[in-house]
Amino acid sequence: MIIKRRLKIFFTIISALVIAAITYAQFTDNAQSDEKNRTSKITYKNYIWIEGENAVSTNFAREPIYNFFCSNKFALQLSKDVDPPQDGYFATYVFYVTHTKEYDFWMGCTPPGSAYKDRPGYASPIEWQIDNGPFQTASAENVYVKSFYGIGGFYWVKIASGTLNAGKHTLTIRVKQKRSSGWDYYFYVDAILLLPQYSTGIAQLMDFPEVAPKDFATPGDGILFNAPEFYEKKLRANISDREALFSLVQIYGWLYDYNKAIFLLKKYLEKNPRDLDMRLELAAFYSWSDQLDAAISEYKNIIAIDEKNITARKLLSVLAGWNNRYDEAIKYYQEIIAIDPENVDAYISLGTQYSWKGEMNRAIATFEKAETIAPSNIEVLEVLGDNYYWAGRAYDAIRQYYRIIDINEKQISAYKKLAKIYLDLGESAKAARIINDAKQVVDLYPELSGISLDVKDELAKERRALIDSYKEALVKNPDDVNLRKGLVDTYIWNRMYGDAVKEYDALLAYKMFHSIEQAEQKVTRLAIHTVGLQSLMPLIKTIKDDGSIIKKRYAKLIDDKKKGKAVIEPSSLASDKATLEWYNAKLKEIQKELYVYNDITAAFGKDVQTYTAMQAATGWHFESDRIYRYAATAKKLNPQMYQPYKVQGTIDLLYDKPSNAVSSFELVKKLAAGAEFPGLPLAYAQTKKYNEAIALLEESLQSKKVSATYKNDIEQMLSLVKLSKGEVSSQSSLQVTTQKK
Amino acid sequence: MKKIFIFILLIFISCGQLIKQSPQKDYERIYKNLTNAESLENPVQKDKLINKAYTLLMQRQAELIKEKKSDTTVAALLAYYYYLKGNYQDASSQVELASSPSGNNQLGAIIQARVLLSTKGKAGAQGALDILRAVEGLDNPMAFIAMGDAYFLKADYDKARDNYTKALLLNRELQVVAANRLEVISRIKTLSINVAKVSDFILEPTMTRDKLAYILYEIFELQKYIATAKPLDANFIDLEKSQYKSAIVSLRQKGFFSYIQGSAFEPFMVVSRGEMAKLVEDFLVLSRNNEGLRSKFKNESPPFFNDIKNDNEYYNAMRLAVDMGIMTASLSQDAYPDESVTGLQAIMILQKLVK
Repeated sequence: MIIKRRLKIFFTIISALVIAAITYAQFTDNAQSDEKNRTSKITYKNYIWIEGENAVSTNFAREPIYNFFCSNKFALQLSKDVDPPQDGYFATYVFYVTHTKEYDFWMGCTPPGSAYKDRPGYASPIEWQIDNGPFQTASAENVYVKSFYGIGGFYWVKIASGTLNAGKHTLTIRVKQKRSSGWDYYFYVDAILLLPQYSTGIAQLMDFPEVAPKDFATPGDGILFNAPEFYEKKLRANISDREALFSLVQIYGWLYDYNKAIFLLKKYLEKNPRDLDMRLELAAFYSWSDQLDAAISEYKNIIAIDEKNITARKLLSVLAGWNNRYDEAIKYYQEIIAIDPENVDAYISLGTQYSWKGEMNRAIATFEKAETIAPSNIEVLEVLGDNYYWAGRAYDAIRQYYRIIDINEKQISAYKKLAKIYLDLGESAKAARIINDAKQVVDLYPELSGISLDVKDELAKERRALIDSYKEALVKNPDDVNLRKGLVDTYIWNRMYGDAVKEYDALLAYKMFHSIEQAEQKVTRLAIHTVGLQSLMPLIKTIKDDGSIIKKRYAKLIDDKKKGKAVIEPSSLASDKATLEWYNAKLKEIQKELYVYNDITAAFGKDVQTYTAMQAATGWHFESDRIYRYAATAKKLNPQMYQPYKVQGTIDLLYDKPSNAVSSFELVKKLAAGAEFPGLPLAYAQTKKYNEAIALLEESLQSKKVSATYKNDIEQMLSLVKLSKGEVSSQSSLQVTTQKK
Repeated sequence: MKKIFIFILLIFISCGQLIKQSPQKDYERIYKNLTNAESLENPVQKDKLINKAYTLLMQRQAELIKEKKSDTTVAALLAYYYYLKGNYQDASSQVELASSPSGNNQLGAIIQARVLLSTKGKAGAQGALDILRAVEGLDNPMAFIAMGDAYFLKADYDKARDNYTKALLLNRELQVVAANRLEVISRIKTLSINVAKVSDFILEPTMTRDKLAYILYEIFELQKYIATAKPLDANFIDLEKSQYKSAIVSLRQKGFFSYIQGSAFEPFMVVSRGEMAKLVEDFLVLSRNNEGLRSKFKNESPPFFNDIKNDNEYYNAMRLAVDMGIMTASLSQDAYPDESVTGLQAIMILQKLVK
């Protein structure tokens, strides 16, 4: 009976609990969604925001540059004094427009400078292009500079307005001009914003990234920048002219005149010590000029004035963290948390420091603490998920990402991370299902269409298309070094380092071929004359041999004559004399040629000196094996290229393997007739195939490919070589004479 | 002991009922597909979602037939489906089904109001507001949008904006629609004409020739600017069906629609950007009495536009309109002469033209 009653009570409790749980779940679900709905900002965004550093392809820089004040903390920075390839420095972005509208095109960037060389321009003027439209210039003359927002000289600039049709678009930013006030190609881009016109009312309701303009009105002409002297004069009159100082320090920043900026800021702060924004500027200039301690000290000054200045504290922590001073950074973040225990951002940063330090348990504990403070904060949930994953807790990470999707099904990055983990775990079916879910979510929400480019692998396709276009162009122009550089940059920007290294190898090979070809022009004359002289080797040998014979023949007679003995002149004397005179004439010709040869080789004296000096200074040695490897790479890339064989032949000649050189140059001749010159004649001469060498020299005179520059040298050589022809009969007559004797 | 087992069984059955997925989830899914379809511009993506919703609705209806049941929610969702397809007649039939026998189906009521607004325009605005009064207290984005549309047609833009903003702030479905409507309101604030007169046309996704003629003649009174009329034959054979026949004839007699050859006017043809530019060209030529404007850019080289060459029939007109700041090229400098013009775009172009 008691058991029965207990069972009754037990089941009643259980069923009550089940019902309560289901009911609670339903109610809390509603409550949570109601709570979400009552946030002050709407979740919908009608604008397109592209991070500058998210270029699909660029040759601005190899990687994004960290900047605390920039959107997403990174920017794409161009700062190069080397001239760009023909199409300029570029950055290409791909984005998706959900609704055909008229958009205002804004950029968070260094304001484009003047298109005129005699006007101030602290950044290069840029050109921009949408899809296949024409490139349009954006310079100080036609853009509207609205407001400063980020230390590092970042301003919001309205570039243009116009319609964008719904669908996928490509934006290309191009720099082809050096800045007028500098010596380099210079343009930094942090973010690109396309905002539908007439949406200023909605803009107040929408959530923008922190750095976005507070409003989008464009009254007047916007901010204009004058020459430094203009501001310097104002400041000489009044150092507290804040506006002038602010503009001038931006200009000094753009011109890398950090010390001038520091000097002025210090002077200003003597009079206005509580201007914390200027102190932040000063600290930034200290850190850019590698005065780390001074920068830290300046941040501490700010904190001394305003203990709760979270920005200074964060920057202090960032500075320490980036300089591998993790313990200091941790201390600073802990101080921020002590001041503001609810500062989720500080917890995330603190956890990240632990993570960088390799203290995963502490990192996770910190993120979990942040999660208790903000259980619905997607950033916290995501970073915790990431750290679970890095700590090898894949299933905890999976749970975390599912939580994110439960809170907001539009969080596409969570789907992608889930798919990646499932793939790692070998559960490819689940990964495919997750990606499919993500695609369906993207289909449902038009505002996610931009993300769809990523989810549906469109960006990857775009990258592949770009890489393929490079490859196609390279098939047509395999030795276009600029194309190869562009491909290398694209690989590096897309973190395809393996491919970049391979392409680098190819680039080096081609560069080497170019260098060799350039040098070849210099050594061609040397080669032609070498061939000629080598072809005379048999003649010289004959002269030497005959001279020796004649010398022996007359040695006894001369000796007898010296001793006063009677000497009978041999019958061969006349012919021997004639032979020697004939040889003498030939030797004079050869001597003349040797003078020419000497002049040619003298021109290489400086090169040899430089080479020797460089070798001594750097310990560098010419490695034929390395060159062979480059040649092998190039042959693999394009078996129809003659250059690798030519390089091999050249190296064989240098390293005394003339037979190998002959094979290589003969292949060159097959692949590109004319390109074997002058390597093949030289290789023939080295292998004593003088007739073949001479025949090639004669042939080259008919070839258009052999420059007219060498015509005289070749003709001179051929006439010299004719000396040998006469020699053959002479030699035989002498031999006959000798034999008769 | 027996009682205990019966008790346990009952508990499990009741829990099972609670756990069993209700059709409500399916309805939510269908509704989500339809609202998202309404938010999309891309017709292919739009159709994809609408068709998906329709498939799910048909599955549910088949289940109901099997169970010999009816469900007003299905009818209301079907009404929404037909409304999105532009089939207002079937939408109205479904609304009737949705409101009977139990009545009080919120979605059905909202769709009823929306159908009224779409079919009657300004004349249906008050009726729609009366219908929507029943759902006024609910935080329903579509109800706010419908109310906003009704006020919009009544030219009460402040109330319209308040309702669209409410829809937006709910952070739920149809935010795109509400935001786009708010952009339209910001835009019409810049108009100097009596907007109430054109409120029926502003939200039109496309403009027909006859409606455009009405706006040109009755609202912007372009005929007043014509110095020297160059009358053209107005004896079109197909004008009887159009309620704006007199506007068409009057404009033609002034020299407008010069590009229309033959005896058919095709009053219900959708106006493209190219045709709009041709009308702009007509106006400029007639008001300035300068026939030379018709060939001003004909030999321009290189062509200004990215998508059309200077031998295109619309090149000169579009180039002229862009050059004078009346129409805009895209950021990619495309002219898009074949794209249709929305009601608001047409009105904005005409506003710039008369300015």
